[in-house]
Amino acid sequence: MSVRYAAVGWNRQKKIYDRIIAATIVTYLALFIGVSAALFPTATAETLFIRATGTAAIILLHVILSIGPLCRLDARYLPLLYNRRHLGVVMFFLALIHGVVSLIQFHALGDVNPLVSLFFGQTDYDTFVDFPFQMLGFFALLILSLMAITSHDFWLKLLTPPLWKALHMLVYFAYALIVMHVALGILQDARNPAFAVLTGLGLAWIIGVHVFAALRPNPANPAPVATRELSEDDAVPPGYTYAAHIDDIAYNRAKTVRIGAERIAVFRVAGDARSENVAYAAPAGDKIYAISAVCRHQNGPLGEGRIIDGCVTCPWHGFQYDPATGKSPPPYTEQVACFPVFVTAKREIFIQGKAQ
Amino acid sequence: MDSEFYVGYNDRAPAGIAQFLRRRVPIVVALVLISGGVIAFTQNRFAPAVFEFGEPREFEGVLVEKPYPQLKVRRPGNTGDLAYLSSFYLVDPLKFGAAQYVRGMDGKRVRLRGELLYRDNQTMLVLDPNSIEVISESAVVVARDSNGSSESPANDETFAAVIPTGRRTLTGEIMDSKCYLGAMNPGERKVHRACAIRCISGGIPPLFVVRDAAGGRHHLLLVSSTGQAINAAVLEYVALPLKITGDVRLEGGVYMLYADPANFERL
Repeated sequence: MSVRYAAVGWNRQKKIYDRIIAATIVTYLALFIGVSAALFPTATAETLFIRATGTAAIILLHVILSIGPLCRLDARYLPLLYNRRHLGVVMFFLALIHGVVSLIQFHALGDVNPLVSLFFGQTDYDTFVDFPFQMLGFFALLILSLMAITSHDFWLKLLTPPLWKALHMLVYFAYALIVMHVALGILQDARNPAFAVLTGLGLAWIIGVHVFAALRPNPANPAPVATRELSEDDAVPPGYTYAAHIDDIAYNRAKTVRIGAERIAVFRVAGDARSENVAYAAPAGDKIYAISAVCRHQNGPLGEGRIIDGCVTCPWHGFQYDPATGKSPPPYTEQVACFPVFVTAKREIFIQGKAQ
Repeated sequence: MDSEFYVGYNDRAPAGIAQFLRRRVPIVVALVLISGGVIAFTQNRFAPAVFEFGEPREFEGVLVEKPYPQLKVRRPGNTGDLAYLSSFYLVDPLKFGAAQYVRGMDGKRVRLRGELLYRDNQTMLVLDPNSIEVISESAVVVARDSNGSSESPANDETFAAVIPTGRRTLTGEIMDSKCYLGAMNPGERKVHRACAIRCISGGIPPLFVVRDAAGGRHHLLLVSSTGQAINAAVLEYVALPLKITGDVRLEGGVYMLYADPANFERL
């Protein structure tokens, strides 16, 4: 969370994260180039550099794509998500180096413009095995470039979270292009099946972990609540929909419900909450708040968040909102919608699906 | 039970989450490094091609201008299995041939500097274009259209046992000779194809490489059926498995394949 834009808002967690990335990448490149040069002394340096950066980028992409579903399966992976953008930008730079050095190596310094050579040097677009695989890598790199350029929160705000998210979901298309880039490129020449097997295992893992995570019920994205018959005793005003029983919600935590198209996080706060502008004070002193479950930052699941220092805190990047007003504490300016709450004598929570 | 909650901008992660990640992250790092190691170890073997990059040497011999520029150097003494002439294909430092540098020098004795490339019995010089010095204007006779076993008997016999001269149908791959001989390694097959097309398009001699059943490689300089440079006409066939029918001839220690691209057959 920041009021003004800085390249990176450094903190201890990010520094640890980035040091691990840097050490891993440097070790990887040194290991790959060192082992290759020792085993194959006649290999040219540019080839080893192209291969080291290309394979590092692909392997890193597998790690990046695994973080989302792993967080869904076990919230203890969330620290990896917190700084995932740095991993993405590092992966992009590796891919960019791979692409640019390849473009120079294979297409430049000749009788036509390197981009003309890239697009028109080989024209076997109508075949599968002989398809110019470089094009697939080029378009994947284009997508990764757009993602890297717009990775900063400045672009997130400018493009709005839904559009930004849609753009960044193109990473899956880029991944498909990259798998084909490898399959129709280096794997066509490989005599040892190990790289092909690794590529297949990587693809199977990415599909598997996504399907597995998708099949698990996602508390942050529940089915719409069923309409309930109300008895006279309930005295619920019209327009309110049943959401949860108070005892179903732990203190300082929420349950996410879907009313119509709206995902709403219903928070239960112990009596010592900072804000006194409480939506409803239950008989036992609990306070119940209903706010939009979609974080203004990256559409993070606020219903999976916690109350910290009296504020709803997003589990993804720690954006905070006062549960009573939906406003981020000053000097921040983000705001999410709040919804009216009604709690019956039976401690059942009803929410009005229209924001206040 | 209230489980731990991670907030990234706090200085420390909750103890349980930190411990969980201290166990998982090293596994991820290890998997990344092991995957790279496996890929590095299982790469195709690199060709025994050598490029003396940055180490130019001086050579003296007779220039042949066409179909592709070559420097012919007479080998001293009994040449045994080797051709009686060393033939160095001449190319530009980038993706171009050397035709523009040797125009009008056919048959002249020259001294020049270049970086050596070699693989099997094939040799090439990346020419320093400013280094060519004509020593003798008088044409020195270089055996051309020899085909005769008297010029290089041992070489002819050895080679003829696999690919006799005369009308032949051969299966192989068109390489750009510069990369194949070591300027880029690997300098063949699909991944290198775009570069091979660029190099041959720029005038680097196309080499037709035939592999025999024993794994031996045989190299034939590819020319048109009239013996002219054929670069532009073969671009679409470069680095693909091909069957070519043509005339195999031995000229000045170099095997040549005279062929018409209209008869090339993609396999």
